[in-house]
Amino acid sequence: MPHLIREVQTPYTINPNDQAIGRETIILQRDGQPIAAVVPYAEYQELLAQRKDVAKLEPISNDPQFERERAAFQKLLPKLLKEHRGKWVAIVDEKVADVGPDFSSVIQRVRARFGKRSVCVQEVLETPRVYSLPSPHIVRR
Amino acid sequence: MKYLYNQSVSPPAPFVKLIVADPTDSTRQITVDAQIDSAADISTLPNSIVEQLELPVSGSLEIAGYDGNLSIVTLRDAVLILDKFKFSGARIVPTNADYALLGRDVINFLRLVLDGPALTLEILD
Repeated sequence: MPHLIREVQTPYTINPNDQAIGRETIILQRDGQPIAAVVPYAEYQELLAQRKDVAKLEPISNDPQFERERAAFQKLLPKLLKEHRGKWVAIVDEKVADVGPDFSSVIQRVRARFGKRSVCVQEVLETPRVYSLPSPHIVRR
Repeated sequence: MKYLYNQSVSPPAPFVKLIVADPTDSTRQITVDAQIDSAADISTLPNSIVEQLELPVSGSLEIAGYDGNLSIVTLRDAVLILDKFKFSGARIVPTNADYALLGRDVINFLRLVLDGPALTLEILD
């Protein structure tokens, strides 16, 4: 749980000996509004890595609508891992449109609701599952 | 339903007649030859079928091919009909082959009898 420690004035200092620092997320507020977060260093490194992952996401199709949905999935992944780990989510218009236990149930609801359009239905996993297709077919993107 | 193995491939292999339908309009259907492939985690369709039915993009996944190389591909979704069995919301990988592959994502729902010496495949009820 984020730990609100103080209402800060500018300039401000944070005491590195504060027991909460490095252990939990600390939200700094100004006029009652959150303005910054102090996160444990390991979490900061994870966030940097995720940002790099999103930046290097190369297109796999010439379908701009799908590529937007796919990029949105990558951007939302840290939050999705907290809320829907192991489930399947549908990204439509760069937002979560459906969640379910398997691809089939999710895509059927999405087709009924949005019709024929590019969407991105993905399993919420830290590392994508690799599917084996050993027959020597040439897979098309 | 009983099928004779496809003997135009060597060695002969179990093939079925698979109906593929548009997920948003089930009246748009195409029949395609499909090989039973218990080594495949996922099913495939010829790209020509995907294009004719304009099957929509529905995601992506990582595939490890026969050479172990990884590739990221787009997925399509379709309705697959095989005899009395209907698979709505099936995941499909488009390929350049001229026949489909039915992987374990589909065949694990079926009771199949492969009779090699008789070159027959039977789908049990």
